[in-house]
Amino acid sequence: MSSSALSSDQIFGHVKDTPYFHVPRAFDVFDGDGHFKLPQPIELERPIILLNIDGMDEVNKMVEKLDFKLTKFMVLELVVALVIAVIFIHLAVRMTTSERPKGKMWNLLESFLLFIRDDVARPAIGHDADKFLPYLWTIFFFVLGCNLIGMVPWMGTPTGALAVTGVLALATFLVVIGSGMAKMGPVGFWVGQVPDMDLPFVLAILLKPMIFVIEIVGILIKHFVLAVRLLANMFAGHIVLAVLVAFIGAVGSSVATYYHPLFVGVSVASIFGATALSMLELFVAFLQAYIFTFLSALFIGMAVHPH
Amino acid sequence: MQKWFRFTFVLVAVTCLAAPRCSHGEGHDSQHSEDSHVAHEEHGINPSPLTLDPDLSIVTAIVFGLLLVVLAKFAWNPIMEALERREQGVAKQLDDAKAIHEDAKKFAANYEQKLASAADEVRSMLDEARRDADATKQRIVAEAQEAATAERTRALREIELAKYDALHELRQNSVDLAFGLARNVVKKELNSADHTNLIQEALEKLPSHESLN
Repeated sequence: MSSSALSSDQIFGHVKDTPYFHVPRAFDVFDGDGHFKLPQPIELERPIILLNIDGMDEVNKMVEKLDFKLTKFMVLELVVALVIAVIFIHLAVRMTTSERPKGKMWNLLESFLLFIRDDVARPAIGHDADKFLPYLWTIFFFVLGCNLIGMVPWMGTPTGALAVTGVLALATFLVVIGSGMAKMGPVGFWVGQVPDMDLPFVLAILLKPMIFVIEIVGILIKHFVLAVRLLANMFAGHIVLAVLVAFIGAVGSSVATYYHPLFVGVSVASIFGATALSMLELFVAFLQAYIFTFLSALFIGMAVHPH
Repeated sequence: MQKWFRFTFVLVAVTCLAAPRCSHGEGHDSQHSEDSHVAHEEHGINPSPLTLDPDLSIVTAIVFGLLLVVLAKFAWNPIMEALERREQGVAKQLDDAKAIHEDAKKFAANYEQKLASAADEVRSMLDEARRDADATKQRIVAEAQEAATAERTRALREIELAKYDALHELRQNSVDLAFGLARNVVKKELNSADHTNLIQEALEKLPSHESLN
């Protein structure tokens, strides 16, 4: 039994995306298994795409099937997006109708917005920064919201899935390429990736294509790492929390009674450990949202002001 | 600190009380874990963090894209305009305050200057008043002295007149006396000794020169 509480299915099942919300079984009034299954608007007989490349089993396993299944993270993303939209549209209405900021919430939100503008966007991008502010603000609050909703009991962290962080990094990638090409011209941007090195002609013919390839690969890697950094931080943090709490289940299944001192001791230690780590997770949620936004701003800055 | 102890106690109590409930649910738990295991096998849950669900990617792209568009239109642009407007307002207010401060400084300097000139004026007025007072004093003293001198002169003149009158009266008395004496002499035969006595007597009745002075 101890292996089941700490098994990878149990642990990863709490951190990864699922088509249901996992709640304490006492709350489940339907079938008592603690799974609130999401209604599936689209039921397909077979998936639209199921990657099956010969000899690439790892890749086949990595890319899941495309079957339009509604999952927990989709719902949570939507909730986060709605909350952010409501909060900031309300703020916008208040700011356009009133002269001075009133109340803690208004000041708090403004300090976030001004921090992103004055300490992230403007230093990283320069005089064009305000054009990119809507993107940076959206990405910051969306990532922050997705990180924070994982701290709510029985919810999940959408940013703990590569599908989410990958799309966000892809969005940054598109903004970077788009803004670079808009500023330097479609050709100028790509040519500008190779620094001017005053090489002799023969050497330039040899080296410049190589440098070009390296730079392009570099851009791709930078954005891939952007996705993986956020994913790894959120995923790892929640795995550690799940393992800490799973200790209670593991010990509970191996003792005769739940008044056993070992069980009580482990439970208390696990709860305190999980509480402390949750505080760290709160900090990491803000930190990673900041880092994602800061790096996005930095990449945009590098694209619009090359070398 | 006491709050934390109470919190810890409550936490431990809740944990202990929850234990039997968990125990009650244990049967379900084992059942559930097996179920979920089967389910996971069926769904093919991959513990690798690098699995990619294309469904989730599509939904994320749609949700994020919509959020970006909606916020840009209804939140970010109005907020940016409001911030810009407020910044300009604050800058204008600062400029105005600076201008008012400069004006106030100028006014204060002007006022100080006026105050200094007023002090000078007061000083000169005081000096003038003092000078006037001195002049008046000297004039009054001079007038008093003049009046005193005039009074003295007048008194002396009156004394002179009184003296003159006295002398005149004396001279008149002397003449009358001489005439009386002469009459007596004429009425009586006089010998030389009587002559001498009479003269002597008359001379004694005359006031001496020293007593007159």
